[in-house]
Amino acid sequence: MFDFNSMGIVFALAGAALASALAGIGSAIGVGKAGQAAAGVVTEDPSKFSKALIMQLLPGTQGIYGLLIAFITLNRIGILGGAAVELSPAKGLLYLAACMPIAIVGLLSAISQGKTAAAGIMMIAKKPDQMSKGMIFAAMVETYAILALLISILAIFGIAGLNV
Amino acid sequence: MNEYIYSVARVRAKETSLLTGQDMEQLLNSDSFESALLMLHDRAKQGERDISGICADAERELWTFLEELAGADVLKTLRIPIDYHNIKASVKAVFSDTDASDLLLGGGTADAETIYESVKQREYGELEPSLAAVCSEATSILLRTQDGQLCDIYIDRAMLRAEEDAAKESGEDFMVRCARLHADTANLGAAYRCALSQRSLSFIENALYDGGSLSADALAKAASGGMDSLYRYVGSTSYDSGAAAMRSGAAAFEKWCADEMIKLAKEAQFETLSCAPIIAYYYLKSAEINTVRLILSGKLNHLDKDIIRERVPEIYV
Repeated sequence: MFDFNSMGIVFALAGAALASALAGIGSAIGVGKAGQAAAGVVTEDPSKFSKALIMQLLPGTQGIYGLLIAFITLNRIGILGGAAVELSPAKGLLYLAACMPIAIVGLLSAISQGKTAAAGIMMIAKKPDQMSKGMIFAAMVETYAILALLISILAIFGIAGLNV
Repeated sequence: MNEYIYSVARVRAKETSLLTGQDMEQLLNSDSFESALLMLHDRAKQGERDISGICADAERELWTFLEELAGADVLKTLRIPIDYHNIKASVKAVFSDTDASDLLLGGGTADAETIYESVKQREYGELEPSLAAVCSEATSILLRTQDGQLCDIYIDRAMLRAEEDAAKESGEDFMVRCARLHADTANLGAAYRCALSQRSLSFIENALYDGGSLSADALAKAASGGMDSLYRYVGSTSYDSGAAAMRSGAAAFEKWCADEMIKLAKEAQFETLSCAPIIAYYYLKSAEINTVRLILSGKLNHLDKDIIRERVPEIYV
């Protein structure tokens, strides 16, 4: 029979899953867009492969941030060790809410960063000496993923001390 | 909306091989046709030794490149002027019983030889209905009136209509803007020539295409009132710089038309996802080919470089 009081662990696990899934999807799309631009440039000028590859990797970080939050959450709720802790529904929802910043910001920022990286790769095609500027433009988008990561980490570690 | 990231990245890489303003200046300053050819060979790796060979090779290479980048729906608008050029050349060649092979261009939606044979046999079954109708009507006009200019006017108007319709069908805003600019510059050019030769209002109305962003009626009325009236009208539109070019003469006006297209193509340099840079590349490369043809022909005919320079459009890169 359905028991709402046992749903805490489900909510927490859903948070971990969303953090890794959404941020991962965002990174996959972002790296894909940058990869298309890289392939286009390398088709015409194979010597730009390494520069294009570095730019292509930039939108991949959000997926790593999502994975990190998922790991921390799984560790906190005991699923990684195989001994799940008892979680109240409120605490489970708190973990779910704590995972949301990196899940949502990771998804959207990775897609935006992919577009910026693609534009940077196109810039390299015409002006290879301006690569660092292209990287800075793409890195600016990263700022918001890092802020979201920070909030998710602070929230997850803060939840443990709450008595709910 | 379709994304063209891969294609645009290829265009960006390819743009680095376009001839720059400095290259064109060097070509202009070369001592002779031979030294211009040599310079072109070094810069653009052109193997051909004659103007038509160089330009034909470049055009073939351009179309091969474009076909790898975009689908038929996007390229159709760019191919339409080639089809109508081939119709014009075929109708005139058949009518005057001359060889059209040197005049036919590749890259249209229909094979140039098929158009020629269809016009020659007056059997248009192998052509798409819209092209067949234009071939049939153009032939009929020429047979009926013996007036090549009327035939040209009919084909040009049909071309501009087909181009604007295809651009709208493609759903690409940039393509629509290009087609509209082409229609406007064609109308301004026709109005300019009509005003110069003091044509009647009814003739001018018939010569202008009823599309683009300018009012064909107002333009026709202005052109029928003489050059000053035309300059005043053009000066009051968004093409006010065209009025100044018209005042400077036909060569300056032709250069202005090419510059306007290059200016529009330049706007696509900030696009990364849409097909605008692909379309822009077509116009830029075509302008480069035409400019090289112009400079080499000038050199071959020992024209003064200042006379050639007057006609050389602004270069994008």
